[in-house]
Amino acid sequence: MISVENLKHSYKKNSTFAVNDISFDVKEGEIFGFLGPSGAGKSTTQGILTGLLQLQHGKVEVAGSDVKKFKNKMYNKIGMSFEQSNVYSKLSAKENLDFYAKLFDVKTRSSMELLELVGLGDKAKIRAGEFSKGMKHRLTFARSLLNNPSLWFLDEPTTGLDPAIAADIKKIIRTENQRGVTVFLTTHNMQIADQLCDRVAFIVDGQIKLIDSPKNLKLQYGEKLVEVEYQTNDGSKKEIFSTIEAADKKRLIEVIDSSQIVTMHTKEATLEDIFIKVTGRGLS
Amino acid sequence: MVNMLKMWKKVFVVFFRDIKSNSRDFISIYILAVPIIFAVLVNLLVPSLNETSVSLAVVDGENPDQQSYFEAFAKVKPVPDVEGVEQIVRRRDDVIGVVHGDEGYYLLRQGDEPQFLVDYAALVLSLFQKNIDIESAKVSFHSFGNNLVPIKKFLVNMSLLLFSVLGGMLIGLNIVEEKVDNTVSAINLSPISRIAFIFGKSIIGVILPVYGTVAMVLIAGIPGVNLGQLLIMAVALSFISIIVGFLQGLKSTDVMEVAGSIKLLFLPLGLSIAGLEFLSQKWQWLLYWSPWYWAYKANALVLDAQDAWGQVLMSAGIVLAITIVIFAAAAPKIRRGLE
Ligand SMILES: Nc1ncnc2c1ncn2[C@@H]1O[C@H](COP(=O)(O)OP(=O)(O)OP(=O)(O)O)[C@@H](O)[C@H]1O
Ligand SMILES: [Mg+2]
Repeated sequence: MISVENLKHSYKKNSTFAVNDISFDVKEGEIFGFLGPSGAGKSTTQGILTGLLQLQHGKVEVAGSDVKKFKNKMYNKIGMSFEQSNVYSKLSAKENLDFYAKLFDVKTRSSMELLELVGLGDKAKIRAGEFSKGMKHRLTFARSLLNNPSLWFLDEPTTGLDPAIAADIKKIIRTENQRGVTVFLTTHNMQIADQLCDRVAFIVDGQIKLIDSPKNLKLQYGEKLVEVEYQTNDGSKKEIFSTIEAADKKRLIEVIDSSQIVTMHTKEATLEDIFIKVTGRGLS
Repeated sequence: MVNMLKMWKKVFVVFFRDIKSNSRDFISIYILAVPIIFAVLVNLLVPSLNETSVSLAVVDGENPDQQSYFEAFAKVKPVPDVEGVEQIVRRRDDVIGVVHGDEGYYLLRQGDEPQFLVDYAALVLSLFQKNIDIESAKVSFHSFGNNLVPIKKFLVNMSLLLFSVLGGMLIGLNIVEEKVDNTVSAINLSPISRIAFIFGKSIIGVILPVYGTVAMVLIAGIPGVNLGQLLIMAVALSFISIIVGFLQGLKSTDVMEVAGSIKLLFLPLGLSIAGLEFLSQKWQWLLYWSPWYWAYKANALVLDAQDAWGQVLMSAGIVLAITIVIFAAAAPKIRRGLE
């Protein structure tokens, strides 16, 4: 569904790259998670895949077309839920969807049905300008489903939503995927990624560090981990050590010897722990 | 063919969305109402003046032939005697008396009547005295032509040019709306082509001056004017405002900024009008670059109810040529701005 080879992108068109030589494939029917901390280059990559940003370097094919030769018609097959909600403040929720629906050449879903789906059914006639941030976000999300996309881009679909609504959104994503929709999910929420994604890519500083399924990753890094909080000269520090890897064990002993321990827990590796271990970076 | 139809359908989807937004925004509503307001104001401030609205006061029954002759060209106010005529003339309104003196009839006036009224009365009087029958007199009046008060002609013509600028202003505001709401990115990821989107956003820039022109002609009352000619000029002139509206909208980040930068158009517009009115023929070429100069010039002829086709077509052609040059310079900026 998506194939990316040696993609690079520099906003200033110089040698600082927001995305620096990444390659990956997304298979038809899967939920592909694109995970990384803020500023890693996730939205930039997504922008190029959707044709919003011009391809500068590399080869990118999306839904059977080279993004360089993207035709407007392509967007009948693609849905995009933006990280920053972007709806017309002066139009009501329903008017927003009705307007957007008329831009498609394919059969579209009913605006009311979609508003109900994201819990905005009773807000259909209220202007989006009066919506809370979360409501606008849900409206943007609902809009991305209007054309029954076969490839669905989601940029931080649950960020800023309360847990109950986030759970609803998660359910919708799963349902759509079961109907055969390929999902490209960008997030820094590891829990969502863990629960939804067939495969995830870890991206840091514009580079992909690893691509695998959450299941494989947990098998691979599934050993017991020890999380140690200890006192250093400039405050307390948290670190995670593997109880199996030799280097980690050695370092753990060092820490216990030389520092004052505040807390120490063993834990099952989460996707977030694995991310930190693989990339040496936190997610926020 | 089917694709063209689809495209135009989307063009109008964009246009009607803009109208819906505009109808919910105070400034936009105000801009849309300006043509009506102006037309009403022109109408109230300067009542329409055609052949029958010049008022002449005469002594009733003193010269029945002359009296009925006058009635064909002016509003005649018969009064019992010469004192009555003097009284009427002395009132503030512009009535001119025609009274008999030692050397035949002469015009009695207060002194503050506009010159053209006096000329008009003098002309009617001399036509009668030369025994010119009413029908041929009307012919000569027709070529005399100037049956619109100059100040009204000026106000109407200026308003017509202004309406095209307002169209651009509205486009600018609509672009800023898309920017503030960040919706262009969503448009770019939909199957509407950029050109269809731009067309859709442009329509109001043509509609507003067209509707403004019609409103002005209907409400302000302009006898004998050729509406078709005015509309050709209005449409030809609208494209420049559309381009400027796009550029300013893309450059600005809020409503006030758009209003402020579109105001810049008033400078060349005012300059063109002033130049045409006050520069001598010898220096008019200084304004040949200005589309407003050409539009104003053509409109003035049309408002005079003269045969203006030559000037209208030439002016429209020149305005369009200037537009093409401006478009060539602006198109890349507009395309980039919408990415
Ligand atoms: N329009 C832009 N102009 C210049 N630099 C940009 C622009 N957009 C993003 N960047 C830079 O490119 C890098 C990657 O940004 P990007 O938005 O792709 O990150 P992200 O992974 O989506 O982050 P987040 O999780 O915060 O959304 C960052 O360093 C950012 O500052
Ligand atoms: Mg992002």
